[in-house]
Amino acid sequence: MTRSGKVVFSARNLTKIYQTGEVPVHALRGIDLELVSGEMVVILGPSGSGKSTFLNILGGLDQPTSGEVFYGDHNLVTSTEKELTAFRRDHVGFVFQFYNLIPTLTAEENVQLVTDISPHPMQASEALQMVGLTDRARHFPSQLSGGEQQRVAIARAVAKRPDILLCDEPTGALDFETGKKVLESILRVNQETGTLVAIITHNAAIAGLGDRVIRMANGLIQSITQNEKRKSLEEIEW
Amino acid sequence: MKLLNRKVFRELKILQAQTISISILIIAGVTLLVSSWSVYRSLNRCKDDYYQKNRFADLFGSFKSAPIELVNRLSQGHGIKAIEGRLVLDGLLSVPDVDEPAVGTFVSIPSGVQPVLNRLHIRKGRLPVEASEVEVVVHEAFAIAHHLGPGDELTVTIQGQMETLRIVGVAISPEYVYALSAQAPLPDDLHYGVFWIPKKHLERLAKMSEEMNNVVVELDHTVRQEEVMARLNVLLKPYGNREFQDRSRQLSNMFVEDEINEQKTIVILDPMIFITVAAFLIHTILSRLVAIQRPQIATLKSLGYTDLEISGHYLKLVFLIVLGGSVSGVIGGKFLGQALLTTYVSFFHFPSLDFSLNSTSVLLGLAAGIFPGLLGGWLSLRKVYQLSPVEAMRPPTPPSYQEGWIEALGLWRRQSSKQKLFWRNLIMKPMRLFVTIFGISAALAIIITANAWSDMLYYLLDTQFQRIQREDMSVGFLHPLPLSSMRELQKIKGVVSVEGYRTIPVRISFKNQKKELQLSGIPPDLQMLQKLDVNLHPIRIPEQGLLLTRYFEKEWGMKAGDHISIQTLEGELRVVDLPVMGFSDDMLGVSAVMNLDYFWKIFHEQPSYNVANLKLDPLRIQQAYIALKNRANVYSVVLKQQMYRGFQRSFVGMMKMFMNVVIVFAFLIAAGVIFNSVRIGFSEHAWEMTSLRVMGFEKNSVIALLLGETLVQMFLAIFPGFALGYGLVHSTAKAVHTETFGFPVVIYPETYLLSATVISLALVASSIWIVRKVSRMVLVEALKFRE
Repeated sequence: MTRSGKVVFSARNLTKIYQTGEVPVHALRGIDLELVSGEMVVILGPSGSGKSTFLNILGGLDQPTSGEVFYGDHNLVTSTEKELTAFRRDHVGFVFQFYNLIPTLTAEENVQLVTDISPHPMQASEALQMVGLTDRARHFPSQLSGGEQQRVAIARAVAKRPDILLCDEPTGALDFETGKKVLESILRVNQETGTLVAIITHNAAIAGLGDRVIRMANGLIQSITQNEKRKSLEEIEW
Repeated sequence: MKLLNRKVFRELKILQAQTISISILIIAGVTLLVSSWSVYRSLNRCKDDYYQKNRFADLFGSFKSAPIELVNRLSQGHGIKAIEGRLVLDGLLSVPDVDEPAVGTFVSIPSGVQPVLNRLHIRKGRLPVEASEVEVVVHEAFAIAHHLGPGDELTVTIQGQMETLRIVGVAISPEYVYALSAQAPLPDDLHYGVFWIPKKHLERLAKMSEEMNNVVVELDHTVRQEEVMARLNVLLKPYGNREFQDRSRQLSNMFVEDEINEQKTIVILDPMIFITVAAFLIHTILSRLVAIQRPQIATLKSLGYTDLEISGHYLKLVFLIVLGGSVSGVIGGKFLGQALLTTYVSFFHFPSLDFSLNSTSVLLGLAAGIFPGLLGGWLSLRKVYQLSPVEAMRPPTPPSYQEGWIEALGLWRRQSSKQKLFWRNLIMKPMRLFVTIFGISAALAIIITANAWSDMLYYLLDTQFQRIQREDMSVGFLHPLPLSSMRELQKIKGVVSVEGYRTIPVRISFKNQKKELQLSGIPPDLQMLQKLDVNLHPIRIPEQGLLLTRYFEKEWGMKAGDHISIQTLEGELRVVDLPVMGFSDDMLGVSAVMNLDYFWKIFHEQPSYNVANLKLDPLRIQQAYIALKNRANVYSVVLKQQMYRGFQRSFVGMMKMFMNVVIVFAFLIAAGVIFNSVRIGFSEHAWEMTSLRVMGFEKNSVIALLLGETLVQMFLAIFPGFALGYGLVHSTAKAVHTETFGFPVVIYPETYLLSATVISLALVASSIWIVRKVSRMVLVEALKFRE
């Protein structure tokens, strides 16, 4: 994928200050960035660099202290809570470090949870197939391994056919082999559906998988690198 | 370990809301337990001290009349420490401040000195002496009701002779702790009083010289009580005696003991429920805490803390909560106990009612508050032992679920995932569901129990005074009157209608059980006195045989068709053997009735009446009172309305305070249980709910999921709660069922409705809380730190 696609997100001069206790924490100090359709972006940075905050704002989970975020021509900063809820429901897929599956629902039902409320979802079985878990559909989270749980989370995130898939440390809690399987699912989603994917990680090895690599530190973007050619999963190691 | 202690206090702060609701439960339970137990102990102690100090007699005998010298003969024999012969007579009083007649019991005492037994405790004034004026000492209850004191005068008619009495003192006696008339054994201080009068004066009024009709005995307990009673019975037989009674049959003492025991029964039950609910809540809350703190526990383990140290840490937390609750409960119990005891002061006439918080009450309260809570806590700590230190390093494994048998039936396939989530959350933790349902049911049951007392009292009084006793006034005559005399009564202004019947004191015996009571012969068409069955339908008086109170069926094991022996205790001695035809459901006291014609026949009597029931014209009630007061043959007058009010004043008034406290506590508990279950539900699912919000679920649907769960739990708890309430009321009613009060198990629909309303209000309050919580959910944080 190249940067020739349509701009999906644009952030202008984003800042975020958390008031925790008496000391204000500057999580974002002025971020300008555009994300285009179909691309795969890896956001790298040590903990505390502001990458999760940025991702949460993009996903409509959090509001910036100042600046603007546009989804298409829709300003997320001025959106009401109701509008943000609808935005998340219709356009955003989340994948978290700790899976966040509902323990009382089976893999398939966890996916259905999303397809029940989305306007143009795919079949839950289709989403599970995409992450290679067709045969685990009727298992409860407690009956799945960590990697399998994370892949269910991915299936759940993509089942609504989101415009963007936001992954926060998706392999953070997994070992190398399992982590690779999870990444494989994410890559497949990106390639097969053309969904814009943003992965947050502190694992530099993953950087090669993206079209662009954005390095963050201290709430600022340090660098943006365009990968001429994305690496394949086999080529990376950590 | 010092650091762990600091952790205990920090967690107490975090668990504030839960700490408060558990504390309320424990405080309520312990307060009730300590207060009622100390009231029970204090009453018992005051009673025992009083009885001992004022030499309350052990045996009581009454007979028609015997020469006073007989006392010497009676006292010779083993087992008797002291014996005293007296005259005890009833008279009709005319009190300046009330129109309606009152009845007085006059007890003779030596002039100017204390009697040997049943010594008076003089509150005001002095003992009466034989003087030109007839001096008396009046019982405190009557004195208070009529504002009487030394120097006041009133008139009495004894055996048709009128006399002016001068009050020289106000006193109480162990024999009349509870001033009750044998005619209407209900407290009515306005219309019944006890007087002590020098013997010579009473002899003159009763026209009985050197005679006695009553003997009281103090035993030295060297010989069995029954032997002494049997000997005395034989000696007094020629003098028309009723059998000697021990303290357990003495009217005042019987009521005092019944009342004290009732106190004990009622008060043990409610606190027990409170404390059990508290233990369950502690178990739930601590289990959750342990689940949440799994990583911390695993970390502590990996640092080298032992299971015991970690369990000890959590138990310390529980201990602090329950200790705080128990100590506050003991303090609360002291104050409530003092307050409760003061309500008894106007009811029981003891020289002093001193409240003492004895060490047993304190220990009992502390133990009841602390141990169930610790047990509940301990049981929830098993998980600590199962946890491996490695788990601290792993992401939390999701709780284990499997499709249950309900789902295997395929009933839910068509449901949406959200609906499945809802149902599974509800039923997949059956223990939690059970605990919540139990908590809500118990809360419902407590409210029902607390309110059922007034339901039952209302029902009892309403049935007794509206349906069974339908007269306005009941007049007892000294001697049976011919039937024509009723026409004379009818002529009195204000009297609307008159119905006469016949009563006689008898002793009934069945197998080896004996009892003295009033046998009534009543015309089958009597309107103003009806016998009812359990459904309140009037029972027709059988033409032959007896109709007895159901008490005898239940307590004596009597059946319809059994024969019982009846011996008259007044007039000519007769012993007859009669069949029991059936049982009536009386509310107050026990009775035996038969057809009036049958009565006359078996006792070989000319048709006569000795009791008249009157209906009065409400506008001319005073005239009727005055006319009756002045009739020579009138022996007692019982005014139903006054009796009803007197009963309500003292008895209901006394119960009221305690019951109000229980009701307030029950409300607090109901609210606490529901609020807690909503809170626990919320924190258990907070993370799931946040995930749903992140995925794009609306706030309202998340709120609906959470509240729906509580709503279903409530719904499931309502009927078990009603059933539990009914069961508790039933067992308490059974426990306090006495001869005097046949407490029917009655719970009005309003009481069920009230309890359900309280629970619903608690749900509304919880809903407000949930809505606020969900609105303030910080989506980002809840996902980052899985609590």
